Amino acid sequence: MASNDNKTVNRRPYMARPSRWWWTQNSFYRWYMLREGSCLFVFCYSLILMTGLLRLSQGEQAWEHWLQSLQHPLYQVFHVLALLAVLYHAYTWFKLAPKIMVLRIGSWTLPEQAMILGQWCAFVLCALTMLAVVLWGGM
Amino acid sequence: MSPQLNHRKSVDDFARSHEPIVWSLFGAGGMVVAFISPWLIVITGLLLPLGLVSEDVLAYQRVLEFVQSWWGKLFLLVVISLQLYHAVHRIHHGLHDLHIEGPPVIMATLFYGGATLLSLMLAVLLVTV
Repeated sequence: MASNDNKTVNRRPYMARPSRWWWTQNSFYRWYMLREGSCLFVFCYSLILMTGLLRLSQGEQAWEHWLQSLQHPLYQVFHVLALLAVLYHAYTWFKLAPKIMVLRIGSWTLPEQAMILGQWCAFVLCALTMLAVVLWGGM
Repeated sequence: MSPQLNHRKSVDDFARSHEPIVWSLFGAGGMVVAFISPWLIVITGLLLPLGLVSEDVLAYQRVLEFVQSWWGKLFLLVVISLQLYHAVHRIHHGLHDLHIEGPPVIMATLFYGGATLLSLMLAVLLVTV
């Protein structure tokens, strides 16, 4: 039989559940939530792109109309915020990569900073490639 | 062999077995969102409306040719569907962080199933365009 001694209570202690606003308590968690929140912009932007493709499939007039609708200030504000969101995602993603994947050649380890810098270089290369194709690509 | 080691068919293992697939899609999506999405947003959402480039850049005929090419279809399918999988994974976990919860199977089906459904719609759209 279990004793009534306070020191030997044999059950898990009751833990109060933290409030759903736990992440507002310090800046580390606030930035974490901001990073996670960036996905809402990614989701909405994906739907915008799919709408564009649907309009494209409906003919020239529908496509022009869709392009026109993107000129609306609300859409422009959305795209600026979406750009900031994915840039913040990229910043956190590049910082995380060397922690997930450590590159070793023999006993030599690629320094974290070098890997982060490498990813930013690839980022710029992506930009140049995509802009070049869009601006001058012969299609 | 001790019976304790033979636990491969526990319910827990089945529940966990989806995680690598989901995480690969999330990870691949994270790469796309970091490297490609910023420039896609600039190209489709900011260049033209801000008047930084001529309207010919996104002219109907030009975009149609791109979307009708096999590399255009492949690019759009991969980029948009990975964006979707990445986003739903974070929404799914974010709701958990905010203590908005439902039965796990229903929540997972809703989010990953939703991304799959949208990707299928996108594939149909790309094939028919």
